[in-house]
Order: sequence, then C-alpha cells, then structure tokens
Amino acid sequence: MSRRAKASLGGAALVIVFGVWPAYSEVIGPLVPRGRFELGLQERWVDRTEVSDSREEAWDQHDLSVVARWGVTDFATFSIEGMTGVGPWISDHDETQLFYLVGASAQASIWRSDRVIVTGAFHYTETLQRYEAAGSRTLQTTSRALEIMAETDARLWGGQFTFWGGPVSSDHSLTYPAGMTYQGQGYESDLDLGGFVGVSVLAWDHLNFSGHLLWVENPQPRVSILYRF
Amino acid sequence: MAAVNASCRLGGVALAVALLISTPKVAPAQVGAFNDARGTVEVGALHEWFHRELDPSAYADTRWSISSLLLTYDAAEWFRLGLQGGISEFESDDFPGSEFQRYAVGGTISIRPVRWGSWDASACARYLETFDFDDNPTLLHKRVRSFAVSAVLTRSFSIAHQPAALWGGPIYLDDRIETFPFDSREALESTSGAGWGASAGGRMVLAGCVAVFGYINYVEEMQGGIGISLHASKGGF
Repeated sequence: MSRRAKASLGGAALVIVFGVWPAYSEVIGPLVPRGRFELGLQERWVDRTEVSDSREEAWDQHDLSVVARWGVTDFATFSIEGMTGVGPWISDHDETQLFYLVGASAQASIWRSDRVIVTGAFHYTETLQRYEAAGSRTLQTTSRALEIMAETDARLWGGQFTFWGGPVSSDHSLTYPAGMTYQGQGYESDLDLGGFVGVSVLAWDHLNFSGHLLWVENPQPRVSILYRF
Repeated sequence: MAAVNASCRLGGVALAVALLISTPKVAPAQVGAFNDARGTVEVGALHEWFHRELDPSAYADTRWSISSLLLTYDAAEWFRLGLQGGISEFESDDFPGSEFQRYAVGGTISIRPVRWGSWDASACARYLETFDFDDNPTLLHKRVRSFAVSAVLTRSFSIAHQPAALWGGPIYLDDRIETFPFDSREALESTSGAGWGASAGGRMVLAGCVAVFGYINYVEEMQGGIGISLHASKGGF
C-alpha cells in the first residue's frame, strides 16, 4: 500500500473515530500542512431557529474561543477549541455568570489534484453557561457539523490566499435543564442543510487571518486569527 | 496508611538510585516536560487525582479525579504550550444520587532556560477549571479551579534504547472549590489555601510514537496523574 494511501486511510479513520466518539470543535478551515501547528482566537456567530414540540425560539448568539489546529499528516488535520470565563452574548438573555466551551474536529483529505483538495470533516462543540436569572439558570448547547470542502490556493499581493467552500449538514440544539422551579426544555434546530464559503490569508508564513460564512437557515460568520508555528 | 508510606519511601529511594546510576544518552526525545525536537506534538489522555484538606468542608479531606484530553506543542526548544480539556459524565460515591456532566478547560506554559548534557531545569505553570453539572434533582453543581507552578530538574536517559526521563522539584498549588447546592446562584466556597510541596515524575517514549508518563505531587496529601499520548517528534506522521 503506498504512503499516500496509508495516510488517506489513516485520515479517514481519524474522521470516523472522532465522528463516533464525543469529541469536539466547530473550526472549519483548510488543511494545515503536516507538522505545522496553529494557535489563536475565533469568534463565532450562531443564528438558528430552534423548535421543541409546538414551540419555536429564535437563537442568536456569538462567542469567543481559543483554537488550536495541528497538521497530523499531509492529509489530516485535528483541531480543538475551548474557552471559559468570557461569556457569550445571547439575545434576550441575561449576562452570563459562568461559561464553558469545549469542541474539536477531525478533517481528512479524500481527493486531491494539483490545484484542488477535497476534504471531509466532522465537528462537535458543546457549551454550558450559567445565569443569575430566575427559572432555569443553566443552558447547554450542542453543535454538530459534517462537511465536504474544496480548497484551492493562490499567491496574491505577496500573501498566500486559500479559498474554500462546500456543503454542510449542521445541527444545533439547546437544553434548559430542569432546576428547582423549572421543568426543563430542549430545542433542536429546524433546518440543518446549507453551505459555507471562506477565505484565509497567511501573512509572513505565520499569521493566518481567516473568515468564512456558514449559511444554514441564516448567514453565520466566523472570523479567526491564528499564529502558525 | 503505613504500607502506603513505606511504599512511597521505597519508591522515592528507587527513583533517586535510578537518577544517579542510569547511563545518560543523547536521546531523540527527552525530558519530562520537553522534547529535543522543536515542533514535537503530543496528543493523548491524562487522568489526575487530587486530595486536599478543604475549609470549609463537610469532609475531613476531599478527593476528586479528572480525566481530560491533553495536547502539547514544543514551539521552541525552550518553550512548550499545552491545552487540556474535555467533556465527560460520571457519578461519585461521595455524592450518591448525583450524575455529573463535566466540562474541563485548561492550559500550561513551560519554559526550559537551562540545559547541560543530559540534565536540564524547567518551570511550568498550569491552570485547569472544571464545572460539574449535576443533572439529577440533587442539583449539586461544583466548580473547581486549580493553579500550579513548579520548577523541576530533569535527567534524561535510555531504557532498552527507549528515551526516558525522570524529574523532581518544588511545586506550588492552589485549589478552589465552589459548590452550588440546589442550583443556587451564590456558591459556597472552599479552599485548601495555597501550599508548597514537592513534585516528581517520569516519562518514556516507546517506539518513537507513544509517550507514557506519570507524576506524583505532595502538597498536604499525595496527588498525581498518569497519561498516555501519541508522540510526533517532527510535528506530524
């Protein structure tokens, strides 16, 4: 079996393992070159319609997380994200007292040519926040995404640009657990299929500025700045 | 307890003897905290147990354990970053009737300012925060914040041609626990108070791709951890 085939198999195994094992992150982006490591911050916007039985809730949130991405092989990238303390902004909700975000993703190349790489990836992110409000003081959210992405590079204006996009299946759920005086309520996103497009710029071989627009029901941007070691 | 103390003393003597008589070798991957190759990445699992005397507390002493994922990156030969965290579910005999969902987030920064031969000196700072959400009607949520700073002397050598390292030095620990009984807004705080103690540990890299490690800290009581991780000495496979 050739080295490329072994690496692709290993990368696919990575996606499968992390796809069925509770592991984390909604960091969508191009493959990181083998042996390179990126560390930085990502701001994420979530704008979904959540439904539960006959009830519907518009969910509008943005949060900040620390992101790390590792080029495991030429064909696979592993990402993690986490944050505590810096609470998210959520519409119609009080200020957050406590906040935790944990997530990860596995991404592997499934086809490549001289100009284009096609990858598959699975992402998982969970958050927990506590409020001072009456009723349920805790809120838990879960985001899962399965995507296929095509990426291509171009050298423009002295910087290394990468353009990428593809279809995505992204579901988002939120749970208000039962409290002392609250029954508990769970919501799931209504529509899950959509797409995304993005661009990243690598400046001076180390600073990676990236932004992409996820469109599932509504446009939801993400921007990040990462340092590539 | 006497048997545990005797075992610990014997282990400490064995550790000291191993450090003194082992043959130093220039190992491709070395050191408890650091590797020789810049760009080395390790990702794996760590299980830690804690044992402190908290005040105030319903118990004479308090024990808890945390399992998490650990990712480390040697950004330079003298500088290492670590990220730690995860999500898990568990039950505890100390809190019957409670079922916890744990969120853990933390990180480490390590520096190695001095190297000479197979010895080096390094320092590490670590912060780990966990929130245990009680999903049962008991609603006994807990939040733990742990901060540690250590300075260790490390000796690297080989065992059966596999790189290994042993380290030891002082450590400063501070653990703060908050309990939110019955989903309350205000937390009941407990702390052991910051304390000085000692830390020792060891690590081996097997077949160039798997690292196993363990450590013991003594601050008021014995605490420690064991872990295993994938080791990529050139940053990738």
